Amino acid sequence: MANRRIAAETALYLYGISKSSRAKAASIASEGIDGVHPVQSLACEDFICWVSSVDAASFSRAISSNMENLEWLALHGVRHQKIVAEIAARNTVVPARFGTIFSSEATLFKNVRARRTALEKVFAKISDAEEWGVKVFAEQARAPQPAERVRSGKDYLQLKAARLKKRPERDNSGLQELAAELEKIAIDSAPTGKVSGTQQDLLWQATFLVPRSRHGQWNQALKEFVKKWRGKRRIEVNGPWPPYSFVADAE
Amino acid sequence: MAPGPRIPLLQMQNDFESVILARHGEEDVSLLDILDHVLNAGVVIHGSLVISLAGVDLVYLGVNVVLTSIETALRNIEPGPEAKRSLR
Repeated sequence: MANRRIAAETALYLYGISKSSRAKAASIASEGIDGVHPVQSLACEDFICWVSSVDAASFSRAISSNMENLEWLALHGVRHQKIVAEIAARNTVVPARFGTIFSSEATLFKNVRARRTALEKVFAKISDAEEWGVKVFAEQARAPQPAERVRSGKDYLQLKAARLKKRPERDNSGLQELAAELEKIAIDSAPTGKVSGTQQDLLWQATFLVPRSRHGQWNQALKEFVKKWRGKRRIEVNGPWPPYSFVADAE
Repeated sequence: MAPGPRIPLLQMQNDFESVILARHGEEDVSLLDILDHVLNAGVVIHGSLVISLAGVDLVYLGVNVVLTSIETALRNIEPGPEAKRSLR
């Protein structure tokens, strides 16, 4: 396969890999990770690699200097997600890690060919399934405290200590049951929450790979826990996500 | 630290009567969720997926290190003893 000539200073940012189908790969409307270059689909044997060009030097510099910059990470993480979600809406896609860059089409294709068997295995696992995140929060009565007069620093500290004492004990009962119920329905589950794990009142969270065919069953199971825990706990469900958390076997 | 740009909510499903999505301010929480999921694909570093730039192979950046510093940043936004006891 003839490799397109890529200018020396240009690299390819990889969003994910899908299987090629007879239909021409639909184009992606969202701008690429750099906000400038369009997303392209490159055929490599039976696969389609979804990429966009980035300036090799400046983008790699940007990644390495901004991975701890929440604002930069937010902007680029969201662009990454928008594009992968758009691809996933029409194809089964194995999402690439955030920040995966190849120096040329040739190195990308070499990498894809080398992982061919592993990729096929992952496609079999994730086809017709979606990733869903589930979070359980304690719903404690957070009635607004009556305003108390604070006249000194000591008053303030005493008030604060009294409030801390009133805080109810953490209650983990039943969380295992929820996890077990959801695991029965899902193909796989994975821990999550590296970023949001510090949210207030969060008791538990995990992410699940759920077959589309069992979506009704999945909703039903969640609804039962919502009902059971009404007033005590709140369940948040987020998704559907591309199967980010379930593609490690492709590596 | 500012939570970053305003994020459009993704295709969120909300057909549970009392499932509340993003109560603490939609943009912020969905942003956290986005980063949770997007970066979950990069948490385990095998070094097998290599960023190859200008002929030099750079092992994928240390996402674990990165996330630790984000957690610290978030803790500063939303401090609270419960938050630190969160199950992982």
